[in-house]
Amino acid sequence: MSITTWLFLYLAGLVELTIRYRLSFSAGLSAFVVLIPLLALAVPRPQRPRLHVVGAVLAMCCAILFARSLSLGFWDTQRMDLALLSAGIGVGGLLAVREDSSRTEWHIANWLLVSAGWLLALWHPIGPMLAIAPAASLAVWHRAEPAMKEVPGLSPAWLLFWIGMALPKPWWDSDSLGAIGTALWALGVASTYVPKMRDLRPPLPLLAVIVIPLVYAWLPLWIWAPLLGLLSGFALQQAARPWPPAAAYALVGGLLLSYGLHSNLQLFGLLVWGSR
Amino acid sequence: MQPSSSKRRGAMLGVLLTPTLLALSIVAAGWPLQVRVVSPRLGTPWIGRPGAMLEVRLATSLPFVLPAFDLSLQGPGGTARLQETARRWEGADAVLSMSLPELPDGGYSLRLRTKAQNVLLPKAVFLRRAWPSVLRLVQIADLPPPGREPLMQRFVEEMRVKQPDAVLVTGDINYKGTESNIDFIHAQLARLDAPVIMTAGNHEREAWHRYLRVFGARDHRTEFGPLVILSVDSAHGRDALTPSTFRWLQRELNRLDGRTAIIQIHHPIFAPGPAATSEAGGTGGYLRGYRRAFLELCRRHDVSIVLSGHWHQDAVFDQQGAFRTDRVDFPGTKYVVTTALGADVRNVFEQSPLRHGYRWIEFVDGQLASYSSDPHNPVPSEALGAP
Repeated sequence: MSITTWLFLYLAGLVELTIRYRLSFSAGLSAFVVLIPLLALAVPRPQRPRLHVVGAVLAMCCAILFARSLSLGFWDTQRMDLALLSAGIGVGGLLAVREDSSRTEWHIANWLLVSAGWLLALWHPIGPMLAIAPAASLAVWHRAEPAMKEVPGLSPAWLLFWIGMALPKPWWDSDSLGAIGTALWALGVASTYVPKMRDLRPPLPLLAVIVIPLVYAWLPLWIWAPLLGLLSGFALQQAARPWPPAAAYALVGGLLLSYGLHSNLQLFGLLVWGSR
Repeated sequence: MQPSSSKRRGAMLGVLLTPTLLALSIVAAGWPLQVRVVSPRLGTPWIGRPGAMLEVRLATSLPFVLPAFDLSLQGPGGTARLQETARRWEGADAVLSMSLPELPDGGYSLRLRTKAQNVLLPKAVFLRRAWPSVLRLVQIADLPPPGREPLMQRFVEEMRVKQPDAVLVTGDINYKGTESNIDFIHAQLARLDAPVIMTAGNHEREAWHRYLRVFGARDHRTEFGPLVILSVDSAHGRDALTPSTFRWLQRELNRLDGRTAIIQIHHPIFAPGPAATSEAGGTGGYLRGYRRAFLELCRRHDVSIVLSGHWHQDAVFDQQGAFRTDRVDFPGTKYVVTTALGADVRNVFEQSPLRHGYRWIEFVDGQLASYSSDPHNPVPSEALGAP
């Protein structure tokens, strides 16, 4: 599991849970606790290898306890114990994958795991978070793989900003479209890791031109989501490794702006998926 | 061993171990096997004649595995076990077709027994052998918040006297989102003799887990003799229908089979317009996303009436969106907003009186005949007194 996989799975869990159960910052401290793992991304990585094992065990235990609490039940976003379990999954998974993960080569398997994690949300919103734990455990076991050396490349910040703007659209369905859309998106990304597909990748400026019309989601989801995934995959492959910080911030900035636009602010109706 | 072969073996093991670990996690999370009745239950009841097929939707703690179970109906007319005749899976839910036993007409509780569970869901199933020519529905919205419990109790007492055929609850049931309040509302509604058909309002999202636990489904269809009541969730935070909800509504309206459609949706469809003195007391609150498509659907399927709440004041619109104060028996779909049953009343419109109340709606031979404040068939909204 790479850091990207972790991020998308934890984000998937948060998105599924918050869209379905509404996480309000006015609800109390518990709303902030679930965000701790995202803040932990900025903390320098730990040097002690045992922490990776501890992280994987923590993620596994928290995931099972969290899922047991929500089995046939619903998430009370004001309950601190549930928020702590959620944060435990995130921090544990993060500890397990931190070392050199930004230099680890991304595999098709990473994206298939993200896709499968999102699809698990169709069974239960807890599904994607539950997928983090085994993936984190395997990350510890699979640590022997040598880290990838630095790869020169570009920083496709603007392109990733637009991808960030587009990606959350299906989530606002508050229903199954979010999970289906993002799973299809991840499959689209995965398809670009097939050797012959890599040769087809267009240059970044052309990618940006193609992505911008997709920000307004006018195509059917089953076309729109894999197409966006395909373009995202081509963009990610051309990015430098380790991941350029500007590109990461651009992606997160796009996600946050999209979140703001699609929430109750209703700033631009045009940008809302499916509104007529 | 060659490094590439070791790498390939590692990858293969990863591919095998990840789903295995995931499956073990799912089993650890869902064991021992339990089920939850999604529907029917109070709020999403099933209404029909004995001998018809009752659909019971069950969520399971382990995907696609059902434990041994026993379902029965219990009520004043007796107790009878339900026989399963067919089973299918919709998403992760099991949908069971059960044959309804010969019991007297009336409301029944659904009892579910498994090895680990014994659950009783009050007023989940209603048996009716015949449908009268005149059907009387009551619509309420914006229920009394904590501290005004007597208003709710008085409403229930009044309905036990007036005996409507069904009570439609159009959202904002649980102000403050507390456990005790939603349990109180549930207990009061369970005292009614009529089926209660529920849709969620924006206040339900303050404690969404409680609403789902107590009342169940978001969007649902209730077949009610010559009527089909479609309860639509508009209150997920954006005052809009989502693509999934809109498609669900389209599908349901496409299979009316000659029945008359009623839609209940918490948010009013139209903006208050020039008659407004405020925009719903500052809550915003009318349908935004999908409004044009929603209106077109109602026109095409000849929806008789669209019932809303949210503004805490009565209002009637025609299908052009004109605020109607002249008459309410105009042609086309009626877009009706009903005052609060117990939450604070508001002064959205100057023209409309401020009072708590409910709406009384009558259908004759499956056609909308009157609704309270109708000048030709006046059945006034009941003033329940100041809070």
